[in-house]
This record gives sequence, C-alpha cells and structure tokens, in this order.
Amino acid sequence: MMRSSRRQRKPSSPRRPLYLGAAIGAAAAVFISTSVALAAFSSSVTGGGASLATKRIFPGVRSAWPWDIRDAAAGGAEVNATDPLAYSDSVLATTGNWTSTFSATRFDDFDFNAGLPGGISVTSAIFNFTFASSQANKNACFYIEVRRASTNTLLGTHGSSGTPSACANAGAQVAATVDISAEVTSTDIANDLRIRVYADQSSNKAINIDLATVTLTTPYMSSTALAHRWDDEATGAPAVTLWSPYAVDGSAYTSGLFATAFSATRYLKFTPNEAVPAGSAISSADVQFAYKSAAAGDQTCWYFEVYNGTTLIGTHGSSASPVSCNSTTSYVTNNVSLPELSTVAAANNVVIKAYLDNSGSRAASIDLVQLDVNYYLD
Amino acid sequence: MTRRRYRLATASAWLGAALLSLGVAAAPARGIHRATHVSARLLVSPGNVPPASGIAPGDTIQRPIELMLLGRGRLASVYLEVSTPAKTAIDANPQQGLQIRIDRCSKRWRQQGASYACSGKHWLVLSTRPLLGRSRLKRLGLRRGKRSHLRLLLTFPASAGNALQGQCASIVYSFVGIAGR
Repeated sequence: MMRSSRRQRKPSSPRRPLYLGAAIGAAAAVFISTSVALAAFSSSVTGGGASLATKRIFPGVRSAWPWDIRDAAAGGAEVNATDPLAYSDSVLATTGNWTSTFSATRFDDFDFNAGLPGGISVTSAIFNFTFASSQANKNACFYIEVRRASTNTLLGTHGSSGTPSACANAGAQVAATVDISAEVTSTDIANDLRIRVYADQSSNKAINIDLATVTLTTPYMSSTALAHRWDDEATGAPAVTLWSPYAVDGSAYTSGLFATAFSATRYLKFTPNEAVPAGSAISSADVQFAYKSAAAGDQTCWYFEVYNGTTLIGTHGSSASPVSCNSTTSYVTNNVSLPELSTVAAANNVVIKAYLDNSGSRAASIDLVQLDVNYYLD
Repeated sequence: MTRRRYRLATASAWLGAALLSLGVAAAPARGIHRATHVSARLLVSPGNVPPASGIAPGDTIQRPIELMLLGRGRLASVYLEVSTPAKTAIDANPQQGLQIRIDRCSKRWRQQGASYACSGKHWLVLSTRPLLGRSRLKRLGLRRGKRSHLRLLLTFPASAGNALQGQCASIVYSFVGIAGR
C-alpha cells in the first residue's frame, strides 16, 4: 500500500514555486496597500497646548497663638506673662530634678505646632535649646530625640548619653542648637512635632531652660515653632504644662485684677506668633477669644483693639458696647472677624489688646486666644 | 533545479506584489478620495489656549474652542487626545488631578468674568473624565464650514491635597478625526 501510494503521488511541478511566490507577493502587497489605505482614512489636527500651574499654597485657615502676653489688668506697668520657653529673655522655666547620669525614663517632651500650611517642604529645622544647671559650678548635658507629637513615633536621635548634644558647665547658660532638618522635612511634621530632651545634672538637681523652640525655613517663609505642651519628666514622673491660650482645654491664663469699669490702662496684650508668607493673599481673618471670670458670681466684659505693631488698625466693641459679657462659670468663646487684617505685614505684626472689666474687681480667666488667617499663595 | 525554482519563486513574488499593489492601492485611492479622506480635515482655533495659573482645589478653568470641518466628505468619528511630555501629579493623578469636560453650544461662548456662557442650545460633548488620554467626542455637530462652539472645562477636584501645591504641567491636545466612507 505504501509503495502504491508513493507511485500515485504526482511528481512535483516546476510551476509550484511560481505560484507560491506569487501568493506571498500578493499577500505582502495587500498588507502594505491596506495599511496605507487605512492610515489615509485618519486625519488629525494638532490642537495645541496649554500650561497649567497650581497655587504654591492652597487656600486654607492657619492658626496662630500668642506666646507673648503682657498683663496690665491692674492698671500699672505691664507684667510680662510670656511663656518662659518661647523667648530668650531670661524668663526661665525650671525642670524637676534630674540624675547625674542619663536615664531612659527621665526626659522632657516639648510639643510644637508651627501653624504652617501643610504639604510644604522644610529646608531647615533647628532646635534651639538655651539651658543651664540650676546650681552654680554644676554641669548639665542633654541629647534629643525627634518624634511625631500625635503618635510619639521616633523619627531620629541626635546625640547620646555618651556623646551629648551639648553641655552647660559650671552653671553657665549655653545656647545650643541641634539641626533636625533630616527629620523635619515638611510642614506636616513641623505642625506635629515633639522634641524629647534627655538631660543629666551633675548634682541630681534641676536645670533652667530659657528657650526651647524650633526655627523653621521653607521656600516661602521662615517661622519659629513654640511649644504648646511641655511634659517635664525629669523626675521620671509626668508633669504637664499646657500653654493656656493655645486651646479650650481648661488650662487658662489668669489675669491680674481688673476694675469694675473699663479703663484705657487696664488691658491684656496678646502677640500671636503668625507667619504668613510674603506675597500671600489674605481672604479673611478672625480671632477666637474664650474667657470667663476667675471667681464665680462675677461678670466679666471685654472689647479689643487690633494693632499692626504699634499702629492701631481696628477696634471691636467699646467700653459702652463690649464685644460680650460673661457672668457664668463656663467659658464663652467669641469669634470676631478682623477685616483690617488684610495684608501680610498686618497679619505678621498683629497685636490684640483686650480691655476687660470685672464686676468683682477680680481676675479674668482666658482659655483661648487664637488668630485664624485664611490665605493662599499663587 | 532547486536554484532555478528559487529564482522563479522570487521573481514571481516581486511581480505579483508589484501588480497587486498597483491594483489594490489604486482602487481604494479613488474610493478614499471620494470618501474625502484627503480633503476632510479639522481645524481648531485657537491652537494654544491661554495658560492657567494659581489653580486651587475646587477651581474650574474654562476655555472656549472653535472646531471646524473643512474640505469634502465627512468624519466618522472625532477623538480628543491629551498628552504631556512629562507627567505631574496634577495631570496624571486620575482622582485628585485635573478633570476635563467639553460642552458645545449652538452659539458662540461669551466671556462673563472668569467663565464663559452661551445662550444657545447646549450639548455634552465629553463627560467629566481624567485629563490625560484619548476619548471619543459626541454631539459635535460638525458641518462643513460651520464652527462647532466648544467650551473646555478643566476642574481641579476640591479633594486635591496639599501634595499638589506648586505643581506645573504642560499638556498637548489634539482633535483626531477619522474619515468615513
């Protein structure tokens, strides 16, 4: 059968390659021609282009609080009620007693909110720590950790128990700086920053702190972040101090003694730590003020003036018509619009001068002084 | 013998290709010409649209564009292609980046402040979608020699985060018409 089938197979034709070649050629031709034809069905118009750019800082409300408070409630000279940690002004904060060697359970936490717009890169962040041993001829040293305030997440460590960041010897005050730019890379971190200071003191005593701040530089502005919460755990146990005007949290500033009538010489002066970038457009500004009488049964009233530095730019209420009065034992929060705060210069130099009276000639409690500025930067 | 067959095959392939190319290409060419692929074309004005800066979340940028069909024949479909030489978060982020929408009006769009309005009949040409990519346009109402009054709306979502601050983008857009028979 096999042999037979071989015999039946037709001899190969010399024309067969010719047909094959023609078929391949035809196929190629059809492919090329069809491609050309289909391509020719399309016609396109290059429309053009457009360039688009977003604002450098999106619109939003950023808050600032006063760490500088001057109290003239008594009608005499202003009393400096400024936060001891906020300025290098020889107004000192004293810690609890440390030990002569570093301990993992003895530290001070300083929490900062820079009040800056989020999402901006930080080009430089410096922790400023001015300190001294509380005793002459004694030594104190420190090193730090950089953390997130909200989560206490450790971001980085500078110095160690073996190699402190700085030492203040023989009772001398030292203005130390620690570059924390590697950890504080954005304003999101700067607005939620905790610096944990580990310290020792050669005779197991306290140290005095004149300054604990963070200097921040961004492409658009420089500012100083001030601590709104200080947890002194020098002794190993927490001792928290909240900066009173920062939040409605019951931690209030208690003024000097006011009088039953308003007086031009009886006031509280607040200087918010505002840092609006140059060139910004301010959409709105307002101040939140939470207050009550320090003693139950008294009524406290208030009105205020707004200054750009030393220049009066706005008055809200008057002695005859206060912004509000509060005779309860609960804090009342007033939110007052400040249309006069329309320029960057005014916002960055604003001073709120609050005049108060008290029906019992006693003190007032101020729980919140917050400047809210809504701005953007093109 | 084998070499001869090979030469025969090659020669016939070339001959076949030449003949068939001529035939196939010639016939559709006349057909395409009748279908106006040569002459039907789109013209857009202006080419480069005015730049937009200072964009904030929630903003919508409006730009009027006139599209015109020129030549003979018709277009079976028209596409918008938007691309960019270098992607950034504001053009490439499908959720928080720029979104595009195109409206058409029977009359010319008139500027009213920062926006454009038209008193005529309105059609949605392209519903809101991420800026980059290719989309088929509908209800363009293209008629030879008549202008199609379009309005481009670029919306920056209100949910855009601070990470999109200070971003710049350059986009290139094309209207692509596909000729019909």
